[in-house]
Amino acid sequence: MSKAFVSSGRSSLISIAVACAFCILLGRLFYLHVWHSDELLKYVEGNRKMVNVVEARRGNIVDTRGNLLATTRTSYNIGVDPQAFREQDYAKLPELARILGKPFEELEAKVNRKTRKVSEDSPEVRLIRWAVLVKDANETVHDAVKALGLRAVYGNQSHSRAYPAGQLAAHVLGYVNKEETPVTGIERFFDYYLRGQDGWRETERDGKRHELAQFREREVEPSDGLSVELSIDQMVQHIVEAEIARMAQEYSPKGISIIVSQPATGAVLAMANYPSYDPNEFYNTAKFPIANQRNRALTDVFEPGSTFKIVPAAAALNEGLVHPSDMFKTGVSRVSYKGRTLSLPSDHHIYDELSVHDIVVKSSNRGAAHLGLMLGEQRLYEYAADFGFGETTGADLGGEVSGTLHAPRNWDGLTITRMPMGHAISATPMQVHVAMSVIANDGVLMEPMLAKRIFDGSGRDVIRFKPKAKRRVISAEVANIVASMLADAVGEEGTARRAAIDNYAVAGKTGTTQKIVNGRYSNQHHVGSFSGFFPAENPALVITVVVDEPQMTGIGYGGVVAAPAFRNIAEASIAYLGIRPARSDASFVNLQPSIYDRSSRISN
Amino acid sequence: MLNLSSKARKHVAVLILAMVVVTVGSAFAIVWMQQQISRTAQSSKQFESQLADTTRKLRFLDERIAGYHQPIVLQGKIAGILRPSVEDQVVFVRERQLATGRSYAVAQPYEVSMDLALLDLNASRQ
Repeated sequence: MSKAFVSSGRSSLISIAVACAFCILLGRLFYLHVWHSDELLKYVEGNRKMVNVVEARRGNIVDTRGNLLATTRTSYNIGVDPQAFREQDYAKLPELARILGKPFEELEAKVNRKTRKVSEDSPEVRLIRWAVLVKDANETVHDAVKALGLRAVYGNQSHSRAYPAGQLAAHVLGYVNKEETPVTGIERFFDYYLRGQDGWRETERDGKRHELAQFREREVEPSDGLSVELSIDQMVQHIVEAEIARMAQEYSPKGISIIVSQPATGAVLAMANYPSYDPNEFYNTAKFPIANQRNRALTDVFEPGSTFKIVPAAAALNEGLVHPSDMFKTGVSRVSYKGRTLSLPSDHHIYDELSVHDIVVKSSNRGAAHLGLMLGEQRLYEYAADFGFGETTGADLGGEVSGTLHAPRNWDGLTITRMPMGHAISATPMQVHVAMSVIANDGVLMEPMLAKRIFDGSGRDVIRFKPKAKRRVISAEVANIVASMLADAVGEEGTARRAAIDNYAVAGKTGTTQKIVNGRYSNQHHVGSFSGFFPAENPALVITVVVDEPQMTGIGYGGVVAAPAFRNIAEASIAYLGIRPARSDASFVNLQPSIYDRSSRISN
Repeated sequence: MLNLSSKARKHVAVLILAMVVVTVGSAFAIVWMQQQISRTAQSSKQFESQLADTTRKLRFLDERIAGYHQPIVLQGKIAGILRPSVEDQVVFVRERQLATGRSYAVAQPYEVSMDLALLDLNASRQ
């Protein structure tokens, strides 16, 4: 056996070289693990570790019967990676086009376009790794695309707010914009409860950036947002909006506001305005101008006109200054007051004298002025304030304005005779509604209630809102007397005959005011309104209708444009809510065929 | 050199073998445990994602149901089928207040309309 000869010199050299190599290796290890360890560790951990934010889901908004009005939707932006699109996938392209509802040629072009120029002038090109095919696709479309088994076609999740009812109750709900900022309505007012709290997860990932679940270190679960249950009833809201649509078609008004509520609790069953918008398309300002987003029931003020006459009438009765049968000389146009001679406002019909009862029933401006003069500035002002004028009603929506009710020191000489007829004061439709609710609720002013409760994912109450009585304005006895006067105003002799419903005692007051245009009362621009309740003996609903500038032949009186809307809504609500007439011998079905019966008009 | 008896040598050998077995066994056990942890974590993650998928689909269904329950949609569905009730189709009942505070509706036979039983949906409404 021969042995290889290795000279001692060479072997020493090799040994030294190997030793040096080890030294370099050790040195490099020392450099990496000790010298630069802090920096490198950070770099490595940055690549390996990740913190995933787990988004909390925004809570739902439901109506009083649990119908979904606002929810959070997962949608998909479906796209294609042209680099990963294989030859055999082309056979599935027609089916993909059918599912996505896109022309085949369009999809084919996107799939075939593999590169794009960095800029117009530059010759440099880049590979296209993602070309959007369709945006905001729903689960059904996404599942169908997934079922095709195309690896190159996939969807990226995104969350958006959805309003399944479309335009229904848009002004109440408000909306959340693309930046997930609540802009108006309940969405904004209850954002604190609705938005929830995001969670997070500290974990590690592999080279393909996939999570290594076994290395999850810390995890904080997201806390989903709470849900809000409104007092709004989807069906009543629909009845109101259908009526608004009818009125908009018939009168082409500038605006309409309608509020329906229960007087005993202040719970608002419906609140709608015209023009409106679809919160699903809030960004489409060409279709829905920004002005449509205004909740006119809370933000727009008008002179309440004759609907305000309930204030001086109730105040004078409550103060014991008059009796319903006391007579006033309404044929006289001037009176002496505190040493001055004041001219009284005129009436449409001249009445020589009217009782307090008839002042309300006939809606006499002059009679109301007499009542105002009896009360005096301070008491009239105080009662108007007590009825809720000049202050926000406290509706849970934000953006509400307080209207105008000047203190007596700022009144001019005519205000004492003009305010009792609803001039020299401005109010929102909601304020007029709340004032009428005082009469319907035995003299107690309730705060409008839009949210009934806030509940968690299991349906358990977190907060339950209770009806809130703000103050007693007039005695129950006076409220009943005024209610009976208002019931007669809806009778044959009154101004609101068109609001009458068979077998039901309806109480209410019409209002027609001229708008101020260029600093003067205009003969062409009117606001017609009606605010009332029924059954008069035991009120179940208060309904207020305000129509701004109805376009029609003649003046758009409240009794002509608003009172019929009240009746239509009341009749439909009677059938839907099962409101019984106060008289036990009366039938609640002896109504005209509802205008909401579409059986004779639509068939499908 | 340490002179050990064969018995002692055997004990040492057994001890070394046992140590090797324990070490190798523990090493494999650790690897096996890591694998199990990894598998469990993966399957948990899968369940998590399935749960999220199901919840998402349920919510999508909720939204669709809400869409179908819109008054305007429901009215469209029943158009031509339902008609407003007429007086004769309604059963009148009387309320009786009892000492217990409960109220009962008592229907009198003569107050029930015969039309209710003989209702013909195809008949034209007056």
